[in-house]
Amino acid sequence: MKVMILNIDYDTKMADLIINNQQILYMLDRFNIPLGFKDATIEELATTNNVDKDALLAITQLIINEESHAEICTRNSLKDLLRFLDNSHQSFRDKIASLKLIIDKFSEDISGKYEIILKSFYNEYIEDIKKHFLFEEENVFPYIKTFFCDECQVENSCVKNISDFEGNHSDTELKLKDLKNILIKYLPASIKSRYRNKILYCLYDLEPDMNLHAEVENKIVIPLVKHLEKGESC
Amino acid sequence: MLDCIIIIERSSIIRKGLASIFAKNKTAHKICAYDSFDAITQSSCTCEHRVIIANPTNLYESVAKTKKAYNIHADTHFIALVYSYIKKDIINSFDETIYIDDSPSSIVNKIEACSKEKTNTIEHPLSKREIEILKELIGGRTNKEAADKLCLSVHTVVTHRKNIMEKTGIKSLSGLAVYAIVNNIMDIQEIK
Repeated sequence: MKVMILNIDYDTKMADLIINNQQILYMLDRFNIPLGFKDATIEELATTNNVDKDALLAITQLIINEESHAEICTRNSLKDLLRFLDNSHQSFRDKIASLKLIIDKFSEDISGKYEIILKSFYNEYIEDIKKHFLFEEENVFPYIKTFFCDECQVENSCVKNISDFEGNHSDTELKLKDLKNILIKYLPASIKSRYRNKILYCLYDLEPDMNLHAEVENKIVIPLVKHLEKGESC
Repeated sequence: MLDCIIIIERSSIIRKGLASIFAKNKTAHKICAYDSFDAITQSSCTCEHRVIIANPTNLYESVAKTKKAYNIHADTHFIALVYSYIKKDIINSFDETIYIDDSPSSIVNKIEACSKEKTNTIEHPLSKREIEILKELIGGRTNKEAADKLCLSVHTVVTHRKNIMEKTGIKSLSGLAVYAIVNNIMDIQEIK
């Protein structure tokens, strides 16, 4: 449980934060910031790795204090925020592909109705996620791009306003939790397979990663785009 | 130890062979063997905690229909005894499969695993009404359709739905479908 709100600013050393928080690790990965950065501060890391320092600070604060400080970000941060979201998708696709391999192996160890029902649940979950990613990549991201790229245009997009896109995540998050519950509570104890735990390890890795993605969208990117839509200068 | 194992198999050699394996391993208090399901209805076996081992060719179309036709309790575990080619979807409707070349110990293990499972699944927390609603929702009905069919208000269905999710910890319909199958509330064919 996080009870202490840490004061995090541009001078905070990243190494002090990462040691107890795996979400920071996900964030660095999305910005292609390599480890081994000794005592570098958030601002130094941003400069060395060509990342917008406001975007890096805002996401770090969101992770550590679970509070949004979207107002730190400006129009100049959007490009890197979008890069963060886009790279997250790629990483999720990889993670889901390896999860699928483990689920297939697990299916070999179980049989009959459990195999069928679990596979159909998982396949539906993957389809949902793919659809969700595709919707963002084809509609939401191009729309956000128009705010920092003058040549970028969106045609025939179903997103005319960032509010069209709010709250779009919930279903895939629910299903991930459901899968955990099914594996932990409901598949009978007689199903013995070492892959049962392995699937859970993967889900424990995927869940905070996906939550971070959703939080960055809901608490940083959407509020920022809303400001820009109103024509307010950020 | 199980209360009762019922074997449904035409070949008397196989019936007796299986019965002697279970007797030797003390797998159940009582072992009944018949050559068809028709014999069950006239039999005196009224044990509650039981499994049925049946050659799939003896089924009345499917496991679900056989249970209905012969008044067999929905929670009864069905184990397929396979020694000829049987369609995969038929085999899948059983809870477990034993093969003619399985060793006696692996047969006993499978039966015992099934019986343990059963004690786990007896106490699922949903009420009768909640189970009825769960079945309608998984079957693809909307809240309104389920309400009409069960003569309830939509509001009541929504309240039950919330309770089902809270009790099970499962929020998506497809997750609840898995729950229903695992707890023997529904048959896999009813969902497809």
